[in-house]
Amino acid sequence: MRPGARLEDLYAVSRALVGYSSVVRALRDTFEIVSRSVALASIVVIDQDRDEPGIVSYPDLDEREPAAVAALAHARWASAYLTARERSAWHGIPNGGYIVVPLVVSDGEIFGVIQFEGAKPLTRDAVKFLNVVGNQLAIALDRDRTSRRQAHDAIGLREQMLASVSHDLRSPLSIVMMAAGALEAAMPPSGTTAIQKIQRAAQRMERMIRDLLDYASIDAGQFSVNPRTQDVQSILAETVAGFEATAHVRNIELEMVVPDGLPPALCDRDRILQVTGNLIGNALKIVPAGGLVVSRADLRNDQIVISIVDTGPGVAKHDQSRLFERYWRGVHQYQGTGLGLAIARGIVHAHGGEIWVDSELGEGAAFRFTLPIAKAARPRTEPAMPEP
Amino acid sequence: MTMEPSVHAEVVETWLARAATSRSTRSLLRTFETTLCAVWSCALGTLGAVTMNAVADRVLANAVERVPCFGSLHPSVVGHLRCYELRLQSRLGAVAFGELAIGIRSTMIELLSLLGSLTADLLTPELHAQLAQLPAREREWHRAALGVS
Repeated sequence: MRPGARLEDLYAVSRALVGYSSVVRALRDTFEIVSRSVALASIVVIDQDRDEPGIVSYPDLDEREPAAVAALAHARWASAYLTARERSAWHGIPNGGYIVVPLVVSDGEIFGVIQFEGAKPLTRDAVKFLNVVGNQLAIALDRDRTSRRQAHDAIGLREQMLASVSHDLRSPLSIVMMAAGALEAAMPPSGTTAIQKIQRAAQRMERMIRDLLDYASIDAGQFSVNPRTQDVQSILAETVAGFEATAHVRNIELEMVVPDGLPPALCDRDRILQVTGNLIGNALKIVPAGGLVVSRADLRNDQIVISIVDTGPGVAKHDQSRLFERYWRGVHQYQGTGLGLAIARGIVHAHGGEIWVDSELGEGAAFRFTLPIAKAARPRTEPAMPEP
Repeated sequence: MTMEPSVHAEVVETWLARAATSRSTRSLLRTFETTLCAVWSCALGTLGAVTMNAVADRVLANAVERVPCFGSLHPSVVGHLRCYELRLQSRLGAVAFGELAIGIRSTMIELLSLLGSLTADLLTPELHAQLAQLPAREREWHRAALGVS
């Protein structure tokens, strides 16, 4: 190796790690530089500073290969032991010629490892170099971690403030609504148009405030439901009835399909009405005139599946996983105000259910969620659930 | 291939047999401290202080779980080198020699095994050599402290 080449490579590693906004995006460049300097068979990084440990390997390790299995097992063992995630990790050390550098910054706790496997036995200089690379990576990951935490804290603060402001807005808004109602009653019919506008605007504000407070409660893990035995057909019928006028104006057909003998659900009626209302309301905003929105309930795997199926533009596959994130608004805005689906997910999760969308772009969408069956009414048969 | 822990155990047991001949708790502790510092110095040049601090903290945290009296082990920085001082003076009388020896044995084996595993045993021969020399060094240290040439 040319004198000074390794130092140059170390500079290059530093440049790569500070040159990206996220360290993960710099890893491949970093690994290529390191592999140029030291002949390596594999590199494995395990970052345990997450709910699920992040594992990155270079080259991409094929877990069917025994060497890859051994390398990953050793890295996992080392990480579990060094981060004290698993006391038993010390027993049964897999053999191997790996260099492991704990991911740690000065006076911090170890949060993972980077493991290098030499293509041939490594020299002391190579090991020193790899240790410094590991230290640099740890500093870069720690910087990322700090940024993530700061962003998370900032979001938390914002949500807290929103919740607080929303709560404070409720009282004056109630006064506006009551006063508008009193004025409406006192005015002749010809003079109530402006008052009705005030009332509609105040009702919209009230819904937005309710959404913000609901989301704040879900986000804080303080959201609770009051489940009771409920007839699913009546929930869907009530929701559909609430949207009939809107559907009529927009020339959209509303249908409801509930099979005979569907057992009751164990749920919080008002909250599930909120979910179905949100889903049907979104569908009505997006389905073109002449379209159809079907609300249906079915039985599948000992659960009730409620589906709101529409003939709208559908949701692209890559957007489907983000649809239930707060404030995410897709091209066609099934999301509405940006919080509705996030709240719907929170409500469904609070019932122990799941919510998802089945859709192909241009072919409509089926928003579905599950509810538990009320225990006294476990079914004997399970009719098949049709596709949208 | 990484050496089996039994190889480290053999070296540690030989070292411990020499270090514990006097059956003095105080002497054993001092030898342990000197050995830790020597192992530390030996590995520091290759692994760096950040890695070594993390490794030592991990091993000593495990040691405390096995031998509660090691809860009195306090890391302290001496110059650029971090050594582990045993602040057991007030409790020396309460620490059984046998318990201490067992704790020291398992801690040393774990430290050597770990350093071996992290470095593909690159450092192991030198670390073992440090242990082979240490009781002799300890005697030199005592003689120097007493002003005996």
